[in-house]
Amino acid sequence: MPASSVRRIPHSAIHPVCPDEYPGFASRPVKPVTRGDLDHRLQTAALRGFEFDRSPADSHGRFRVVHIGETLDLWTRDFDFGRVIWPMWPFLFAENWREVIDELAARKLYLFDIWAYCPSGPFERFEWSEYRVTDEIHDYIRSKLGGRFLGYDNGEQDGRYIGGYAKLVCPAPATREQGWEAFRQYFTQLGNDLHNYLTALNSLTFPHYFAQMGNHRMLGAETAQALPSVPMWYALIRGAGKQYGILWFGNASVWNRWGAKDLSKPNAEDTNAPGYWSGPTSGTSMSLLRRLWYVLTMYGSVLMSYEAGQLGSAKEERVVNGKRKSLPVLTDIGREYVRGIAWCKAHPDRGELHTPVALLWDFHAGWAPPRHLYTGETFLVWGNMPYEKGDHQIDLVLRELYPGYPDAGFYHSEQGFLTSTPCGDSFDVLLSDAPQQALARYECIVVLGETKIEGELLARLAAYVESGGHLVASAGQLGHGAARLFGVEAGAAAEANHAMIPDHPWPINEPRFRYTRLTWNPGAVLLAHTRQGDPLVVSKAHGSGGSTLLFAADRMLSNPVCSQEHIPSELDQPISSPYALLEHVKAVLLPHLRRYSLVEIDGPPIQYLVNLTERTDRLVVTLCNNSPQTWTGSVRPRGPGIKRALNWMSGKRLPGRDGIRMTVPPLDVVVVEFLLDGPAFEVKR
Amino acid sequence: MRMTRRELVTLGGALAAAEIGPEGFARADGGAPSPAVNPVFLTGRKTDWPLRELAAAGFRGLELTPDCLEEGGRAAAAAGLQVVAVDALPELRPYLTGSLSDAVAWRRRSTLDRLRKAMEWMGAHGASYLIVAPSRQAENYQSAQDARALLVESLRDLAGAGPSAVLLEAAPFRLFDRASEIASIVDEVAKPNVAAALDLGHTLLAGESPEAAARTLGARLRFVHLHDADVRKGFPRLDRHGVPGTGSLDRGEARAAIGGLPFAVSVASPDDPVGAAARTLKWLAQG
Repeated sequence: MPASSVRRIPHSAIHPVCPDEYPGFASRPVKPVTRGDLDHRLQTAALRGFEFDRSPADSHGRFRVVHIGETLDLWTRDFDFGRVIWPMWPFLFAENWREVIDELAARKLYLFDIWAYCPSGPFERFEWSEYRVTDEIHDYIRSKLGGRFLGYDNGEQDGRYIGGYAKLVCPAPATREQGWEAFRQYFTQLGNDLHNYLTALNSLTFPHYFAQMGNHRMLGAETAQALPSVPMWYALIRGAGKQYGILWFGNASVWNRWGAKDLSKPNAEDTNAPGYWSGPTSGTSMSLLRRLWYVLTMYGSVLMSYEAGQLGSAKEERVVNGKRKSLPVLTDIGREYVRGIAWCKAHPDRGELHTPVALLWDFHAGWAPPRHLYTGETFLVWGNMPYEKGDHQIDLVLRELYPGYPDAGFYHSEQGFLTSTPCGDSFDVLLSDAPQQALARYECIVVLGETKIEGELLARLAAYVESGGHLVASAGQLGHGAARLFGVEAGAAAEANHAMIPDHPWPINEPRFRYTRLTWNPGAVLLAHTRQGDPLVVSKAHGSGGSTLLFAADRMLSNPVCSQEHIPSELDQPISSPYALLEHVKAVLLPHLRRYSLVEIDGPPIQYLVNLTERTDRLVVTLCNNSPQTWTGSVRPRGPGIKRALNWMSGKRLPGRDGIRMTVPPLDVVVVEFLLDGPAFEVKR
Repeated sequence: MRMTRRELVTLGGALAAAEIGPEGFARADGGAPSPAVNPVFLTGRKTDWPLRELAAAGFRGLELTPDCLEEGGRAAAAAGLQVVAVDALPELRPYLTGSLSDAVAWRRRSTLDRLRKAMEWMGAHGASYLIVAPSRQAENYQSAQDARALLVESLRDLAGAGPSAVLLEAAPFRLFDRASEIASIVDEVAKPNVAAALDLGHTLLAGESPEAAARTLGARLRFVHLHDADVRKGFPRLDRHGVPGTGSLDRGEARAAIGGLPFAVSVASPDDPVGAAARTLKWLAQG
């Protein structure tokens, strides 16, 4: 891609997702939560359940919630954990359930993600059970809480579906559409039980589908635990939010694959007595919980929480509003939580995450990472169909953007939950049904997977390029009429084992790969080719300032380099791939993607985010060091010089004119505000 | 590869010559036309099936699913095919359509109600076999013993619902996926019209040899499902209902397992349904 085809001062979308501005919002039967519903500020959640006078399961349905006021006081007044209540469902069936709702309404608290619905669990157990909310209960909650009722929990059900139900579909889907249909049926049932008034606490990579169903109010994820890599995952969640007009939240779990962090007795030894590990050193580490707070906040989460563990068993005397009270002590989790809330209050102008590049794949893809918690098998889409080459392409491109992302949940060291971001943490994922206005947010769109560029999608992408967008694809994705957009004509298939790349005099070696023979039309530019002159990468600048970049290699990948049979997935070991992303693809694509970042980072690999506000001379840069070694490097805004740099963690100014040199402690995060001597970007309206 | 009509007719003749066709099986089973084909699996559709082409390819019977009996029955009659069996597996999805051992009592009752209605229809239309399968164990609050007890109770309940045979078939990823378990449950039910079906793909997915599974089921075995599954090491185990020859199914084993029993082709191939069904028969007839 010629550098000249990328604007010198980029146009960046900084407008936050406002669901009520999306077409059709007024007529939606289930409206996504709006920023107005949340009082236009970050909300936080802590209380996870109410106390009953007896076990609901033993009470024949005659039980009451007790200590309602005291419980709410503890979590929202004695400790300012926030205004969002996140309870388990049985209170809905207590004799005095109205009292709970009335009290929440009187205190103007939020009711969020009522949890523990579990398919096939008998209702009478009042635990992990199926329950159906009556019209009476649902209508009462809505009438009393209005927009402050944020929905019932679609909690980790995508993982449950993939792990427990997808394989039971007989016969297994033969087409992706059938895979989607089976998935949809499961969630239609769940939605119907819960008044189609849901919040999605994702555990896998299906947030778009929940948003598309039209019965969800928010999207989020149970991060950490043994679940997917967060930078990759939130690229999907943010993309779904932007595509469908729905806000997202952040949550970090105290669980990992082996057990849960329990700091209630900080000096206790860990134990596996309950059948899993539990104790101060079990579960998610404090450093990961801390990093997740800041990363998820800077991703634009409108509601934040830690799953549990804020309060200890011991008590201490404290003065609250002039009264002495005996209260539980704060644990390290509680302290970090309070600190995180205070930090957000002190820095309300965090801006929007800069995500100039969208990765786009087919709506029916059903893509999931090559391995995850819910199955011991690998390389599946929809939980019951094997990866095709395009799915491997998605995986391998993501491995370049988020190195080691498939390790999340598989390593004791927690590697993979957060990763370095060589091209910046600056990508969202869209699906092929994204409307024109969703595409228009992005400076660049990379088409991945088994996506066919034809018909309506071709029309939308052509319009996108004509309005100045930059489009990247591979020849195998060209459908009827698409070649012309890329300035080529597609011919027969051929094979090669090398490539000539820019700025390098000799052929570079590649694993053998198939490619489409291309002839390029006037105006197109050849960026890589075979020794015999066959084009491998063709760029075309469009009059509008937009451009296209086409890779001839099939899905940008080699032919299979090994059999899937020889790719084990084991704990504390990486997983390889039966394909390789070609070297000439890396040589052209990755620099192209890095060009959209507004900062340059020099130093060892690190995760970095850039947040923007309306002030075009201001950048907020988050550096998350996911390594156990201190990170030392420099941050340099592209273009203008630095007038002032302020470390938001320490409150100290950082010296430097063209760039700042700084350190980030091991497994920690630093956020720096840059004020520049000129605009770093123009606001895209 | 799509087959021409001429090839299909030729294939029908080849099957008859190989005695893997209606004549051979009619003798063995007192009249249930075979081979049958499941058009719902084959096409991925509940209607609009290419039944005349399938009849031309040599199929004589049809296997339906419970949610398309009325329309399917009419279509079968119009194409000169007889409904031989009803495969209820797609209707036995825990949580969604329910199962015979569902821990949620109302859902199990509702499942049984639907299957009883299917059996009423089958009785009125001379369909011989209702094929059912065990469920998975519920995620919480259910032991394997509880699930088995509910399954046995459900099968006894269904046995009284009509003259058709209720055939229990092992299915992958469920609680009981081996022939010995199916045989044991059928024996425990102890009803004359409760017996077993054998699904060759499912058998492979359970790690069993089709021939050995058929032997284990012995006289309990009344009906066979023919399709392929890929059980190569390192690849995901999927109930994909492939065309035989594209997976791990051995022809000799398949032929031995089918023996003289009626069988249905239960291949899934929405892109080329007639070709896939015909290739299945051709594969079976070869050699």
